[in-house]
Amino acid sequence: MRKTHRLAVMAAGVSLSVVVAACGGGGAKIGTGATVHGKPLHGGTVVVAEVPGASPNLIFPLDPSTNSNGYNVNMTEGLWPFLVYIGDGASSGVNPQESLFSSLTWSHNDSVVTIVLKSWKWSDGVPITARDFTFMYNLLKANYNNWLSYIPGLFPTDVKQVLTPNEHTVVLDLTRSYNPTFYTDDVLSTIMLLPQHVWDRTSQNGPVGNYDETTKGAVAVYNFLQKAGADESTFATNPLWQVVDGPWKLSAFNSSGYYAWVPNKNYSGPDQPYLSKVEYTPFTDDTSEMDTLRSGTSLDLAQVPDNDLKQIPELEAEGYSVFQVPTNGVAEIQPNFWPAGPSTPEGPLIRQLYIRQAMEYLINRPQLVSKVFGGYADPGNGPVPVSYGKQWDTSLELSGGPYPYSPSKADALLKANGWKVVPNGISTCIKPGTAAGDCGAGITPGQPLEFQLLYASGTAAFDQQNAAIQSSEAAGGIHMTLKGEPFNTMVATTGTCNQQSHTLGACNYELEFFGYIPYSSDPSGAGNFNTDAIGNYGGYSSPEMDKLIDATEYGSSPSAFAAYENYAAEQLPWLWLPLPYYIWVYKKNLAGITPTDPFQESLNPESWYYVKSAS
Amino acid sequence: MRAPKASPAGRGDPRPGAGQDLEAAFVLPGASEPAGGVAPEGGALPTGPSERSGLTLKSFWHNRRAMSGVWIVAIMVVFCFIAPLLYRMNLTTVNLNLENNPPGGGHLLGTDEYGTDVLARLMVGGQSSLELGFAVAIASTVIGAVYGAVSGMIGGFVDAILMRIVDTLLAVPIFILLLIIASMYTLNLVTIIIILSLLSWPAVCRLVRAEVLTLRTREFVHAATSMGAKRRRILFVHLMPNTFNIFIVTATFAVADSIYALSALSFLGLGPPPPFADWGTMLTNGVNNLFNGYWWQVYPPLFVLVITVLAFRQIGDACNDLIGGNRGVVRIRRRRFGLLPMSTQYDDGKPVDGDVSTA
Repeated sequence: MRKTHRLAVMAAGVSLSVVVAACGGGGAKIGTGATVHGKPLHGGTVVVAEVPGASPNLIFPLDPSTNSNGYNVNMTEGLWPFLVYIGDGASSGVNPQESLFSSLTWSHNDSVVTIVLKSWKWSDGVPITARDFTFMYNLLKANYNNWLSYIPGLFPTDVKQVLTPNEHTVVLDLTRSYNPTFYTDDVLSTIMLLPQHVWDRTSQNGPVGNYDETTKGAVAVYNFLQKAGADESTFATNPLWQVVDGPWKLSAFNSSGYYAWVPNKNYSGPDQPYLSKVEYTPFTDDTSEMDTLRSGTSLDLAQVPDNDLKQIPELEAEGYSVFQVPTNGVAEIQPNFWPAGPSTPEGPLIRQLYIRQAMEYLINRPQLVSKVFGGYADPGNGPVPVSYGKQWDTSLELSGGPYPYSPSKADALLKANGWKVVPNGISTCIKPGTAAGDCGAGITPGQPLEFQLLYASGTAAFDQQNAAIQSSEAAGGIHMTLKGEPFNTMVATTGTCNQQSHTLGACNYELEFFGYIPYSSDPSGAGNFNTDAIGNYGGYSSPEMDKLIDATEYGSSPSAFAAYENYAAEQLPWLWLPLPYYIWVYKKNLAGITPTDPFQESLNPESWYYVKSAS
Repeated sequence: MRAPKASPAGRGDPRPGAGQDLEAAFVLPGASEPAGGVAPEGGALPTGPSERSGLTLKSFWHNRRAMSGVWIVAIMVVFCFIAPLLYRMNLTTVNLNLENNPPGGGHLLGTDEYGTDVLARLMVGGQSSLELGFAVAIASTVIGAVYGAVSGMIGGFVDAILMRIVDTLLAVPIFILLLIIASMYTLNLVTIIIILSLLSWPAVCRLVRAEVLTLRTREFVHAATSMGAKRRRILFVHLMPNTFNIFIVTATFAVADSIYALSALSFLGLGPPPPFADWGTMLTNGVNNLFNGYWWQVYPPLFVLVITVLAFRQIGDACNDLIGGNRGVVRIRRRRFGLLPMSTQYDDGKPVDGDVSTA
């Protein structure tokens, strides 16, 4: 699922009912965006600022399990849109116009789904058919363990058979009944159709065949496509990647992260782009991005760093409009329950719930919201953002979560579990053992209570947030050192860890913060907290959690979701953090930006256009 | 260039066989009073190192440029090491409720984005800068001096090999290498000191070797040799003290360059992580906030950084001038568009005063 992508740049939600927070930056309140009126102009280029320090590095849209760079989807979704398109302007839910299916019907007690594809065409004029679906399915069936978005037990391993009764119809016969909303919104929205007539090959110049119909062939094709898709020098030139069914084609890419889209002239969908080009330009940090924004000339759309909100009046004077978008996801520090090396002392510490609870008690989330993010952030009381939508809120999350800031409770917890707490020093275990009141399994006498937090650098607000967390943890006797790395470096060197894989180099971290995990649509825990899910980077495992997540997948009971949500909030598979909204600025003569689709992980420039004069 | 002068020691009897005391007569009493005063029997005074040595405590004391630098450094030392004892602020706790407050209200220079006192942070940040500067200067000078002296003393094939190693190190763009290392590992002050020291000594080495090459053919060295002094003694007692002037100048510049290096590293976000404080990190954060109107986070660290580096450079320049005037034993040129640190390059290996002997 897309939620396994890390820090997807554009995942954002707009809720018109959101109460706009006061601007801590001292300026006026930021709204959700005004409509720009005017006659659409055809042509023109829009330059978009990428998130500092992060850029895509894979064009093949099925990411391998070793590549959790969430920025890839931002580049590929405009080329190969998802089968189910989530979000319609500011509203959640399936967008039937933009989706690739014309009908999606559940039957047989919700264990069979019949998908009728629209009669669209690939950019080379070849019709899109059910064969393109089975090609994608065959690849994933043979390679699901190397697919980043795979959730244990779900697509494609839950498919008994795929039938294609006619050219445009796909019937998925599933192994059990599902909650149709969950499966449609959170599973089918993560797969896309792939051009079998071009990609079903095992080498660049080899013939196209039906290799995917055997497991061996599907593995060979998948490996070839992933290897070719990782060759950044040919992203924009390899003919494979020029066959698309989305509104855009990639016209340029370089290893710095710059890339450009031009319209797919044969796009069959409803939104033929007005613009002649969209450019995405990278920045190493948010200071350089702000410098460029202040110049007022070379960026048409960009995020305003949270610590620079005071400069919004200057940006408006430079010809920009501003709006804020609540984010659809969950921000967190991911503890690694199985850091590299069997003797790594931090593993036993992290596996103790009371230590995670103490750490969460020591994070002053309301203060971070107001001081670091200027009020523009979800409080991060649990796994579901409370600004997301009322149907998901539980009273526990609405009341501040199970672990509101409380140094005294953290202190009491640690002392009650055998620790000598030394504020602003190194606390040590004085009662090793596994009995009640002891430090817990694997914790040695005198073991210090200390961790390293690895975090994505380049964003001043995150530097400030992490320093504040480090300080407040230290005041409670938990010593934390900080290590910043560029996002791309960080996600390339850390991976999914569990009890079996923890000796790998990719597990050589204790705590990590890379931004947030975006939700596809429903804020489900599937893929994040299930045992052995690829998105479960820290290797959290709990039979109870697995059972509760399964219940949200199989049934549609609100109480089942609330049970999962509260349990996850309390168990702290991740340490919950405030989730900052996106604050965007865009040129005043650029229309169609707002309302922004809250659930797609890329922007939708096919609906943007310049107008002669801004109103 | 000052005229050679005879030291009282030079008036002794340098005849072989006069024993250890006799040899001691050729030992330099100090870097500024080297063996130039040794008078060969019945002949003119030999051309010794002292002819370049105008660097005396007295001349230094009377040199305005040098003393202005010394006074500034002294003030900075007091500011960084003594003043924090009087101006006590909590710099380890982030207090977001005090973030970005302007000067006043108990914070003379305001607060930064972490709510910490800018003035106190300046003081503590200066400690690490000065500690690093002095440590790197001492370490790189010692390493470079010993390596260069040994190389120059031994000469021949060994010297050639050792110098090629140095050439290789000098060819490495130091700051780029430092950036690569810093991006691979989390550095702290000690590791930065070690890395900078290991990367900085080749320049000192070339200078000392060049000086040793000129000295080892001098009469006082021949005299010591003929009196049975061993190589080690000649190296450490006769030759190295005569390169003291070089140490002073290079070490002074090394302090300035190292402070710049740490600041540049931190400015690029590759310095030690928080809560470590140094001027470069303050500048980075301050520049981020300059357009938000938080001027007090930028100008104070910029001022102290510039004034401190300038002071050390003043001292170094003054010492160099005192040693050799415009000609100088250590002729220094600035790489005008070079990337800091190591902006100081040295003309070395060129024999002066007609000395020969090259590797």
